[in-house]
Amino acid sequence: MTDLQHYLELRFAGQTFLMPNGLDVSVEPRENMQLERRGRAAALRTVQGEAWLAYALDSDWLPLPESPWTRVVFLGIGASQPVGLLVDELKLMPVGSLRIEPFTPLGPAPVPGRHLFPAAAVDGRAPILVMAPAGLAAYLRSLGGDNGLGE
Amino acid sequence: MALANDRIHALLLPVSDRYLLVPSALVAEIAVVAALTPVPLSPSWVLGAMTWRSRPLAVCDLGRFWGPPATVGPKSRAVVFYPLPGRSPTEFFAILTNAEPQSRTIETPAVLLTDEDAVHPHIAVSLDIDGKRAGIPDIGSLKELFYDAAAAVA
Repeated sequence: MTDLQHYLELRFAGQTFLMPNGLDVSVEPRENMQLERRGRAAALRTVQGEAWLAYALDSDWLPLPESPWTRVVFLGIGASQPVGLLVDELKLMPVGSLRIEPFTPLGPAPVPGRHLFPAAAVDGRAPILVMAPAGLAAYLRSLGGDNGLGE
Repeated sequence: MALANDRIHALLLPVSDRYLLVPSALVAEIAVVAALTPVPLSPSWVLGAMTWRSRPLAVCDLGRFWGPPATVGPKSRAVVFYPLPGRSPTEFFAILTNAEPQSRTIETPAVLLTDEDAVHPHIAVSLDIDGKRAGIPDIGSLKELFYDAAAAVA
């Protein structure tokens, strides 16, 4: 297992999150994407004939048809169906620059069997939640591609 | 109904339009409510996460189960609880109160129990303490409410 070197600091819908920058994560610029809605997905990337769907989320994490996104963070690279999150801003944060502590969200998990925020950075005034890539990918996949709002 | 003859050091927590009565031993600290980070996809009774002693903890509004949604004001407090039995030692959590909790020594069986008021969710039983209606939280019920038994850290 590769030691984690960086977290990605993601901003979208006015919120900031962190995510471990592992081998199963890849970042694409807007120009590599097709601005084509498919169901609830706001954009997609075609890789070897397969559509990788990407979603824009609002502050309640409901899908949006459009947002001022600049990049896509694809999750589950190497899995059968990578899925992307559209983000407005993205920064690399060295692991050593953050104090990350475990966090347990209360209430039912948003995706069966998976919580999305297992930790948080506690350096600042308010904690910054750390997203679990597998949980986030499961949530985005649960939004559906071709069976969502479909306008 | 009478309780065993004991003295219990407790805190009366003003939550919504009533009080919760909890043993002081369950409470780690009464803190000023720090900046809250929303936790997306959480139930409405989760107000957010705040930093307490360099750890993140969830702050919840239990008053939502019997009253209107809470608003955080200058008198609000976050009553930080030790982790519930069987949970990880890092799993502190906080309950929002309208104001500073009050300390009480409860001498049983001198308390009047009003069982008819014990029907609220997550309240085991209600008491009349100095004319204040106070519910004792059902810890088992809170544990079921708080922690998704099937959920793992992804």
